[in-house]
Amino acid sequence: MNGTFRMLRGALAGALTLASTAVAEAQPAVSVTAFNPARFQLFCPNAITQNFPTTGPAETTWLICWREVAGNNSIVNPNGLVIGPVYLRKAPNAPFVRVLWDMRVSDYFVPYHPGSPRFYDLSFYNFSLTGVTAADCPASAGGAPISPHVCKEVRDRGLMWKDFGGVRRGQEIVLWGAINAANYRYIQEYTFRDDGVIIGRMAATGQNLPGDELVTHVHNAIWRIDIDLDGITNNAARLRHTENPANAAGTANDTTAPIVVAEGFTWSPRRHDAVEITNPAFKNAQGHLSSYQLVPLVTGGGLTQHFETFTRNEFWVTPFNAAQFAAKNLPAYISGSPPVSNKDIVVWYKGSLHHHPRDEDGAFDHNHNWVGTAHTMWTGFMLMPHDVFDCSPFYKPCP
Amino acid sequence: MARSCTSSVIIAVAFVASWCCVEKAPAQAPPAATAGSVAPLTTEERLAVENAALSDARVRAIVGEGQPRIIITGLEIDKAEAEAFLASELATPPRRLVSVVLFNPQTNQAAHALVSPSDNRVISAGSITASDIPFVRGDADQALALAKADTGLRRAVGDTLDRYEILESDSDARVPFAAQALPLRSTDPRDFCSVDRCLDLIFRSEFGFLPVRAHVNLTRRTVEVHGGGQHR
Repeated sequence: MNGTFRMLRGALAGALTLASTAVAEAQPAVSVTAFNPARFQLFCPNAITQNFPTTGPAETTWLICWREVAGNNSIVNPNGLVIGPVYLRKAPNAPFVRVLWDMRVSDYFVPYHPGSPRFYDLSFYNFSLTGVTAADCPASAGGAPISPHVCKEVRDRGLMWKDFGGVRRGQEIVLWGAINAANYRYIQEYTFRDDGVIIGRMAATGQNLPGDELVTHVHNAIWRIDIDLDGITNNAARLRHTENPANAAGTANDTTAPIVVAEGFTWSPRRHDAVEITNPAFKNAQGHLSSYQLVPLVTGGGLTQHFETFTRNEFWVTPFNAAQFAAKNLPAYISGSPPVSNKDIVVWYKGSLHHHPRDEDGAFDHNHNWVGTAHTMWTGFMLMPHDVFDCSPFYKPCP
Repeated sequence: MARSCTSSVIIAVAFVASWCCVEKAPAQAPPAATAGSVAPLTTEERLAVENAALSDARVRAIVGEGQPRIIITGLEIDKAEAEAFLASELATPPRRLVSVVLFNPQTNQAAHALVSPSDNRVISAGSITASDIPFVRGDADQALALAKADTGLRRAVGDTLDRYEILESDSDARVPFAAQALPLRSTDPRDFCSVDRCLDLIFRSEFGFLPVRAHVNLTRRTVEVHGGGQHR
């Protein structure tokens, strides 16, 4: 990087800061990759800028690039709603910081309990997003279709906090589309909250498999999350809670174990397993290393594993490789233990929906036609900021 | 202080002006990179990409002699180039790269190539397994033709079988007799579909999905009928 570019970068950062009307605060650590709004808009003309709160002076702002992929090879470039790059501005006078480069579902793997069939509902065929209309993206719910296949909703998200002194409700922006996988629809939903939280979820809905309407099965979604926290030089760590219920002292312990080479590992409901992503150059005004933590949002009681090796872990951490998008190849991606310290990192997460058919899904009529539709079941994950803000931007000013 | 305030206002105006360029790029700006919607290939570009892939020595060495089937599978951009563009280190937008799969049925060998359409050059090429060859519309049409010729399926579906047509995922058309394909994989080594290319076909009439599937092995050109009588 030459001196001229450094100077330009500094000037731009200064402009962003001076343009603010808010009271000056202590500046966060210098961004590794300066944000250039003009370039970003050229790179992503359909980007969404979302301020929170939605009325009055902005406190936090998301810049969200999104696109639809509808190709013929979801093994190398999975179809569907793709999010990224995404930037967060944590205060009106703060710089925009990149959080994500590319977030999408890599695959949906659907094994049926008898052992067959075992469907890969994304990677092997050209399933793509289906249409959205005012019926499923109504203005009355804060919705507005932003393409024939993608809905944007800006809405209240319920209580943000409530204490002795008051209460505040939160807001969020949600982008979603639905993959048309023949009899099923897979909803791909990405939420960006006012407090910096990102949530990725999937839902399965539609007709049970013709000919096997009553057979139990699992819908696994595997997300590929190319996270770039303030640039591409990131680190990953495994977070765990340990506690022995037989220990009368009642003590518990949390551990942070750096992940130095590519690996996969499991989630346990007892350990609060999570993956922490940091950038060694990214700290908040308190001098704390900022991170985003990948936290499972497990619904339905568990996460299933199957014969296929790539389903044996809920988390995987791999170095970025433009040719690696296929969840089914994750074991190959980590073979040879490529290093992931101070690297461009990709995190993968598998969520599961256990679908035990029920009468509420449908029933056969007298002509043996299936009548009914399975209602949405959801699973997903959260990317939660940890020491990204200097304090809560939605309470009193930082002490 | 007054000078500082004036500077702030000027810079703020400049900032807002640049922000307002969202809808319309300034005249001197580089062309849009369109990450939000990578510009599709023109017919000429598509032909040039196919020729570049077919004439590449690495690709030919992988797929062998004969005419391979070519599947243009999508457009990508290079992350490093995109990063450089966003950081103003690169004046031009990142190149579009075209992902191409070539499959030679005579040799049963397949290659994946990444082609730069701007200079009709193969950036990288490598072999892929047959199981990594994506199913496309042609496979679904072939499966439906095999299914329609199967007497067992005809017994299960009836004469309306002839009226079914493949409905693609990106179509919301309300066709009265729609057949849809689901790629099949098996982990059971005794199942041919652990190796072969197999599809399940499902059928949707005006009354909903039929409780039957056609299990089609495209490699062996066989059809099995599944379902049709399960009640609780």
